[in-house]
Amino acid sequence: MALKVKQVKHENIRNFCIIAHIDHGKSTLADRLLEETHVVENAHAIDQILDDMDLERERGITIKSHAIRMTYEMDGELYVMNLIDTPGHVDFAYEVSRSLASCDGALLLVDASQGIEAQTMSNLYLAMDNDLEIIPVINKIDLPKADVEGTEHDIMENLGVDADMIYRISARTGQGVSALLEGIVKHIPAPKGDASNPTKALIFDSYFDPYRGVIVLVRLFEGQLRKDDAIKLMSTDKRYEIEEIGYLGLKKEKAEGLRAGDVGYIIANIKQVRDARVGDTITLFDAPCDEAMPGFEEPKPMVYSGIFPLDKEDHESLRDSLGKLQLNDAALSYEPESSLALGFGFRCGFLGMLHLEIIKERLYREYNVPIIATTPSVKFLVTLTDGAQVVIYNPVDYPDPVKIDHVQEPIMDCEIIVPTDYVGNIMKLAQERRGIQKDMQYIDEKRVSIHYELPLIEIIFDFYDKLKSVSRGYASLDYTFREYRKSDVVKVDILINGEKVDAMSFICHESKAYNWGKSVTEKLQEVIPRQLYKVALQASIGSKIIARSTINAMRKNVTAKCYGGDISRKRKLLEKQKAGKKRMKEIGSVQVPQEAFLEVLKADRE
Amino acid sequence: MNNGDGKNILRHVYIHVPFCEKKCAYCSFYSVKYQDDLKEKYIKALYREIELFQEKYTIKPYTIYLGGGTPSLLDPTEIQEILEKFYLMDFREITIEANPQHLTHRYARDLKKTLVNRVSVGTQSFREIELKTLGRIHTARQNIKAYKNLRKAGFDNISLDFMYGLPGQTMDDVAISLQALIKLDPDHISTYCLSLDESVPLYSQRNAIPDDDDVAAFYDLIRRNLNAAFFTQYEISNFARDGKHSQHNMCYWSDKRYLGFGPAASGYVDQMRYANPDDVDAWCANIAENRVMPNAHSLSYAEWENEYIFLNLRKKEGIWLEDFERTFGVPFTDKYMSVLNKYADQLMRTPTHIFLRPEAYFVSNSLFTEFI
Ligand SMILES: Nc1nc2c(ncn2[C@@H]2O[C@H](COP(=O)(O)OP(=O)(O)OP(=O)(O)O)[C@@H](O)[C@H]2O)c(=O)[nH]1
Ligand code: SF4
Ligand SMILES: [Mg+2]
Repeated sequence: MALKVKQVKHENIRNFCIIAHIDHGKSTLADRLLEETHVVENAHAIDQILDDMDLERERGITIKSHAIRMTYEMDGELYVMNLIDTPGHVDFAYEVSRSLASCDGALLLVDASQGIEAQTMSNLYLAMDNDLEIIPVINKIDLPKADVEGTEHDIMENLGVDADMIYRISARTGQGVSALLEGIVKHIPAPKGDASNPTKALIFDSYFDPYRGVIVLVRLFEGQLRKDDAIKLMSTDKRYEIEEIGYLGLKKEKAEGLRAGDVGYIIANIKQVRDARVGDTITLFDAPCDEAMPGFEEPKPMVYSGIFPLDKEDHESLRDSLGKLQLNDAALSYEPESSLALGFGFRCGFLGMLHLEIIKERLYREYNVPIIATTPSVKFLVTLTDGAQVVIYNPVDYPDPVKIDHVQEPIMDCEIIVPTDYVGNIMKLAQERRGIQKDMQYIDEKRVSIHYELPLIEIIFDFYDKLKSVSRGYASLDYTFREYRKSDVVKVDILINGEKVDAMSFICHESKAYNWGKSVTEKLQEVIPRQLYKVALQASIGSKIIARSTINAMRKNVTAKCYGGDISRKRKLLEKQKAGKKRMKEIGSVQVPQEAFLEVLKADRE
Repeated sequence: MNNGDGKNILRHVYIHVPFCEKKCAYCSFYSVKYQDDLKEKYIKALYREIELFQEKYTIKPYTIYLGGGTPSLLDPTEIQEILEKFYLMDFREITIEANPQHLTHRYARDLKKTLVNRVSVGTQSFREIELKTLGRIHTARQNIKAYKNLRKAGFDNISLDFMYGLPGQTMDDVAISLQALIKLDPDHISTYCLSLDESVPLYSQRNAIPDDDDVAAFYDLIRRNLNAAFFTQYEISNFARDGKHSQHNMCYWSDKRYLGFGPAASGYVDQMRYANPDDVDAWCANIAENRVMPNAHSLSYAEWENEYIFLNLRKKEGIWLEDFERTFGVPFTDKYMSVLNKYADQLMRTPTHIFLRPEAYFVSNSLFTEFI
């Protein structure tokens, strides 16, 4: 087989990806394609072969990009197909765009029971931006509630294609999949590029292997790469030597080299993934190409949160674990932070809320470090009265308001696709979240696509959940960064018995300060146990108190009758209470349980 | 070792009588259904247990306390026989717990003929509906009758039990019961705030229990009314007329050593706390093998000090600073300066004592933990 593969002609290579809204079946279709091309015999045994992180399997979502090489014989010709599986969540839109750039065609997968959704459209636009040949595919036709006709109609309307160009499949049963394979060969063009041009390879993913260092996944557009070549990463000009190179089968398949049009991997003694960033271009050190591939961006954290070990003792291991995670995740950033309330921790930057959740969970699961994460925030640009500009991604650093000239906050372009019945609800929600409606278009008679500009800070607090609940789950959402815009934001402090709890401060729009402040103090009132004295909970802007709640003094904690016999038991009871107290943080001489920090995150942000 | 008076003599005795006619709905004390033959077996083993302890220790009780269970299920003659197993030249107070339905005129009269000089009656409430909820098998009328019979028989040291914080209870309910109680004019009142173990039948009604604020208000009402009726609150849950505080219970709060006899009884001797098995058969089996003080736990210095503090702070007079320093070798006020400062509103001091302000009694556990 390996021999034959090498003989495959350039024009018989097909590089494609599957694009879809989240959960429409990309990973499942990938499994069927692998079976059909005999890369694996029974993919049903392990669902979603390409999702190899435990977390991916469990959550059923793809977090990283993957690629796999298949061979396929048609009409006596041997074809090589490289399938690139991409993450589906908006947090990873950049990774998706780089994967798309590595392809020549895309299967646009639409769940017949859901129809076109927000990310179907945004991914479609991305694919069109990258000049990909698009093959529309209707998936899940086996489902009883599948609306194949309606979905087909949608696709024809929105893509301007004929019905006979649309494939109908069930990725679960395999129905229609072999016809689709033929379609891939027929419709997706062979890669352009020439092996004799100066080398140009796009990194579309990289990951860390503890034994081999960083494994870089690339698509070669021009020229060639061979073992022992000296290469250069164009964003950093750093030089490396290729130790190993090859194709991406089910396992890595070593090869002499890769040529224009190929998809494969490189191992070059690169120590951490941030040195081989997604979107960067690899060229030969001695014979570089003129220009890097377009579209490279530094990973841009959008959401920030302080991460502190639950147990002070764990500070070192938290640092180590973040370090290890970062080896494999160039988008994760962190720097030391200290809090009066929570001690030493790290201020971390994430691509979005899902990314944050994933890191939190991996810290706990893979590294066994229980943590407290503080209220997420976004990055604000603050212009001071003296003209200087500061970037604030930690409320603690927010300047004294008298020194502030104005503040800008990140605004996102959002596309919401929703059945017309729920448009009213969506508009109300978007309005509450300070959204500005820019456009509304009918996808078909029953559904519209509404374009909003929404501040990111309004999106990160359960906007998605609210969106789902006001639309009975039908609305879908996609968003990308638009711009920084001037906004009346304020910093709200939370005070417990007059003492500021730095880890609970947050920055929000002036119009939200009162409600958010109130819901945080109310949440705290629920979760902080009564103390021996009355405890005042306040939210303030500067010295102005905007909301307050009170925890009444404890009234009862007594062993009202103590028999001779239960003195040991009583001592144990007191010792247990004491141990409970020790796990709390003392703030303003109030015992605050750790959960309080988690619970404030759940405070309503209406 | 100091066993209470510095002469290695044990001065306080608790005897657990583990029988009841019917289990009350809230009760998690150890007791089994009364049976004549079981009682015989119990008394025999008890005698043997007393002998075994007497071989080990000099026991010259100031106080003996028969608790339960229901000690009034024993005949006065049986009670007297048990008491006579002890050296009785020094005794000051001998208490038995009794249930109202047993305290007939005749029982009271016969009891008076024994050395028992104090009776603690499980009256609990003067509201029929509450007694029913609690699963008590006596009525409010029987409470009153029992009390009068005891008085008639000549008892001059009678304690009544009073429970509050009951399912569905209101401030009025508490006030009414309390008035009935005060009207009887007992010498001593033990109050008891209901707390329910998961294992008891009444646990199913836990949601009907008034909330902490209400229960705390009941407690305040009880305290104020009893103070007004000239009862001194000498301990978190005990009230007495002058000179009528329970000397036996005071030994617990004052870190005195005592012996416990009978199943589920516990004792404190030398530097050890022990608890007998809460099972008649297991307890008998131990005694048959001449085994006393099973599972004794040697208190560490820190545990001892903690107990000393939280027990003494339950008392009105609190911790006697001189005794603390003599016992533990450090001045209390030095060692716990920061706690004393932080809780200056709750912990009062005189030149000789540190004590809890009565207003803080109901949250005393929170303060006690500060000393751990
Ligand atoms: N009935 C039926 N279910 C399918 C079909 N294809 C996928 N599914 C199911 O749909 C769910 C989502 O499929 P995935 O393959 O994980 O979707 P995905 O697009 O890779 O999801 P992300 O990677 O998170 O974007 C899974 O429960 C699949 O089993 C199909 O043809 N028929
Ligand atoms: S009489 Fe006393 S010991 Fe017996 S069940 Fe009732 S409360 Fe418990
Ligand atoms: Mg997937």
